[in-house]
Amino acid sequence: MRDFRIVFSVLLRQRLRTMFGAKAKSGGGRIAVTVLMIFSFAVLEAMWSTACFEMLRGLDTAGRAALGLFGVFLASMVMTLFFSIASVIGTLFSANDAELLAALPLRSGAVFFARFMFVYFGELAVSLFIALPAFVCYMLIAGGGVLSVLAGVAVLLLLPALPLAVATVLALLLMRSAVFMRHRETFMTVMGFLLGITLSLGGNIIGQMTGRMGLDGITSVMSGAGDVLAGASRVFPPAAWAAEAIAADGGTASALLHGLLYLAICTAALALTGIVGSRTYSRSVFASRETAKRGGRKARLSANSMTAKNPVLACMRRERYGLFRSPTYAMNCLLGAVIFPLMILLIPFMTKASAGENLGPELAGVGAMRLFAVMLGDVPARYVFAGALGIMLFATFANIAASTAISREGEGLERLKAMPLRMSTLCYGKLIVSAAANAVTVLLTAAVLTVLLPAYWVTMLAAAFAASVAGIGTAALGMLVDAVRPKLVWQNEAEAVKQNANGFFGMLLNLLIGVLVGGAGALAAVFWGMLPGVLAAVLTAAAGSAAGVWGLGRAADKAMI
Amino acid sequence: MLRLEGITKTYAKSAVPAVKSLDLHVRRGEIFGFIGPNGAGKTTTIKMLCGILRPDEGRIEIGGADMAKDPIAAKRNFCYVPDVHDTYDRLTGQEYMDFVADVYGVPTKERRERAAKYLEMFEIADAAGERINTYSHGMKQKLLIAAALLPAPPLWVLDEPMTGLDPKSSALLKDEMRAHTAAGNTVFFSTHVLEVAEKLCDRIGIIRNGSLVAVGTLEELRGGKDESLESLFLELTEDDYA
Ligand SMILES: Nc1ncnc2c1ncn2[C@@H]1O[C@H](COP(=O)(O)OP(=O)(O)O)[C@@H](O)[C@H]1O
Ligand SMILES: [Mg+2]
Repeated sequence: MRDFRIVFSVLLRQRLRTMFGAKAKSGGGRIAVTVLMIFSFAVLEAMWSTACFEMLRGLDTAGRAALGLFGVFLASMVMTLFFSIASVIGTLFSANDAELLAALPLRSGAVFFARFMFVYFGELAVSLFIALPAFVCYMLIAGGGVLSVLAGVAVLLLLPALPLAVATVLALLLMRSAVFMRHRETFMTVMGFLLGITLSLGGNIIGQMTGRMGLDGITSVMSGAGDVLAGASRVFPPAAWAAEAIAADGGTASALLHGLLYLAICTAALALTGIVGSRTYSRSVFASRETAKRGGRKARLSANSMTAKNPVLACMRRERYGLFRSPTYAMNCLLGAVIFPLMILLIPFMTKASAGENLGPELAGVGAMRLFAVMLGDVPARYVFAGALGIMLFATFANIAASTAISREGEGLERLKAMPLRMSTLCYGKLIVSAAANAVTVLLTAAVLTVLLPAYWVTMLAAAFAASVAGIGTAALGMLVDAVRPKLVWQNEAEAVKQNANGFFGMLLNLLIGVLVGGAGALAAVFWGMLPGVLAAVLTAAAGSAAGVWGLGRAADKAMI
Repeated sequence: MLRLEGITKTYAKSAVPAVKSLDLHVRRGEIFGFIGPNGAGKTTTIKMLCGILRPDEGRIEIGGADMAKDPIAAKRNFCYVPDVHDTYDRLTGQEYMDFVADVYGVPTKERRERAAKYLEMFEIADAAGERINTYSHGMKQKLLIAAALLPAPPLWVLDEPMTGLDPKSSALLKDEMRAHTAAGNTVFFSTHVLEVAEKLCDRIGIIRNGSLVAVGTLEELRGGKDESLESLFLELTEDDYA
C-alpha cells in the first residue's frame, strides 16, 4: 500500500503538472484556450445529451427506455475495451519512467496497480462523458427513486472496470510473449482490425435495436423478441445487468439482484487483473524493454535508396513511417479511417435475420444486401447524393492523425526547428498523409455504399469526389489547431494522442466544414438538382480546403517558433 | 560567421535570466569552445542561436543571415547536434539521414558518398538499416552527428558532442572538426571537458550564470601567466556560490 501511494502520487503529480503546469503562453491566451476547450466539450456533450434524450424518449413510448440505457453502457464498454489497449500499453509498458521505476526497490505489484489506477481514472472520464448524459436523461424520462440514483452512481463508477480488466490482462500476456514482441506491429494491426469489427458489430446491434430500420421495424423487432432486455442480455449480460440495476427501480429484488451480479463480475475482473498483474508485470516490463531487432541490417546506399526528394515529400514520408510504425499511433490515428466504412458494411448482415420480414410480407424474401436498394427504390439520385455526401463527411469528422500531427513530434520538434525547414513545409508534408487518410475513409465509404446501392454508383462517385476535396480542408483545419497550440511535453505516446484537447477542437472545426459543404451540396441538390448539388459541394469544399491549407501554412510559419 | 549581439533569455516563470546580454563573435575558420559549469546557460545560448528559442532581446546573425528576419537562410548555414536525443526512434538510421539530407537539399550522389563515409567512420553502417530505438546511447549520438554533418554546412553547432562517444569516435570527430575548419569553415561547440577545449580550440568563451566572463585564445585568457585552463576556469567561475 505504501509503495502504491508513493508511485501513484508521483504519477499524478507528473501528469497534473504537465497538464496545468508552467506554460509560456500569456494569461489572456490561456484563459481563451481554456474557455474554448470547455465550450467545445460542452457543445459535444450537449449534442450527445440531446441524442440520448431523443433516443430514450422514443424508446420510452414503447416502454423500453432501459434498452437505451443498456445500449449506451454497452457502447461505453466496447469503446473502453477498444481504445484503452493503447493507453494500457502506453502507460504500463512504454512510459518514459519504466526503467527508472523498475530499478527502484518497489514491489512490482504496487507499481502495476498504481499505473492501472491511472489508466482507470482516465478511462472513467471517457465513460462518464458517454454514459452520464444517458443516465441523467433516463432519470428525467423514466424516473426513479434514491436507490436508483445510488445504483446509477455505482454502475457509472464501475463502467470501465470490465473492459479495462480484459484489455489489461490481454496486454500483460501479450507483452510477455516473445513471439508477440517480435511481430508486434503485425499483431497490433490485426488486433486493431478485429477490435474494429467488434466495435462495428456492437454499434450495429445497438443501432438495430434502437431502430435504424424505421419505426415499424422497431415495434416489430420488439414485439417479436419478447422481452428485449432479456434478448439484449444475451449479447453482453453485464451491460444488461447494469441497466437493470437502475431500471428496475432501486428497491426491488430484481434491481438488487442485477446490481449485485454486476458488482460481482466487476470485482472478479479487477481481482483477476490484480492477480495476473502482480505476478507477471515485472517480467512483462522486462520483456517489453527488449525491442525487436532483426540483426545487423546494413544500410542500402545505392540503387533506389537515398535519392534526393522534395522536402515536402521527405516530411510526408517521415510522417508516414512515424504513424505506421507505432502501434499506439496507428491504432489511434489510422484505424478510425477504416472502422466507419466497415460499420456501414455490416448493417445489412446484421439486419438480415429480421429486417426483411419485419418490414412486411412483400419484403420478406428480399435479400439483405438489396434491402436498402428496394427501400430507396424510387428516391431521386439527388437525395441519395445529399445523404451520401453527409455520411462521407461525417466519416472524416474525427481525424486524430491530423489534429495531433505536431503534438506527436514531442520535444524532438526542437531538432526540426534548428534545420532550414519551413514549418509550413513540415505541415504540408504531414497534411498529405492526413488528407490521404480522409480520402481512404471517403473512398471506402463510397465503395460500401455502392455495394449496398449499386444503381447509384455515379452518384457515389460524385459525392466521394466532393467529400475527398473537403477532406483536405478538414485535415488542414485539424492540423492548424495543433500547429498553434501543440502538446509537446508528454510521457508516452498514448498521452500525445489521447490526452490531447486538440482532437476535440479539430472535431469542432471539422463539424463546421461538414455543415458548410454538406449543407451547400445537399440544399443545392435537393432544390436545383443533381448537377448544381455536385457543383456546390465541390466548390464549397475546394474553397474551404484552399482557405484551410493557406491558413495552415500561415499559422505554421507564424506560430511554431 | 556567427555573431551574437546582446542576446538575453529568461525562461517563463523564472526570476533570473538564463542568458544575460551575451555578445560573441565567432570567425570563419576557427574552432570555438564554449565552456562553463552545469546550468551556466550553454544549452540555452545554443538553442537561441539555432532558432529553437527566441531570444527576449538581441540579434543573431549566422553567415550574414539574420535569424529573426530570415530564419531559413540562417539555418542553411549550420547544422546542430543536440545534447539530448529522444524521439524519431521509429525511423531507421538511414531514413533519418535521408530526411535530414532532403531538408538541406543534398543531391543524391553527395548524400550517398557522405552518408557512407560517416557511417563507416563511426562504425554504425551495420546498424543503419535498424530502427533508432534499437540503438545504444552512444550509437544514437553517432547517428545524430553523422546526420548533422551530412549536409556539410559551413558552421557546425555541437552541444556537448563528445558525451557518450567511445575514445576512437571522439578522436575521429576531433579530426573532422579540424579538417572542417582547415577548409575555411567554422565549429562552435560546448563542452565541460577542459582537456578537449584546451587541445582543440582556437578560441574559448567561458560562461557563468548566463554571462560571458572571458573570451579569447588560450594565451589571451592566461594573460601571460603559466596557468592551466583548469585553474583558470576554476578561478573565473569560483564565486558562483558566494
Ligand atoms: N526549459 C527550461 N525551463 C526553465 N528553465 C530552464 C530550462 N532549461 C534550462 N533552464 C535554466 O536555464 C539555466 C541554463 O541552463 P542550460 O542552458 O541548460 O545550462 P548548461 O550550461 O548546462 O547547458 C539553468 O539555470 C536552468 O535551470
Ligand atoms: Mg547543456
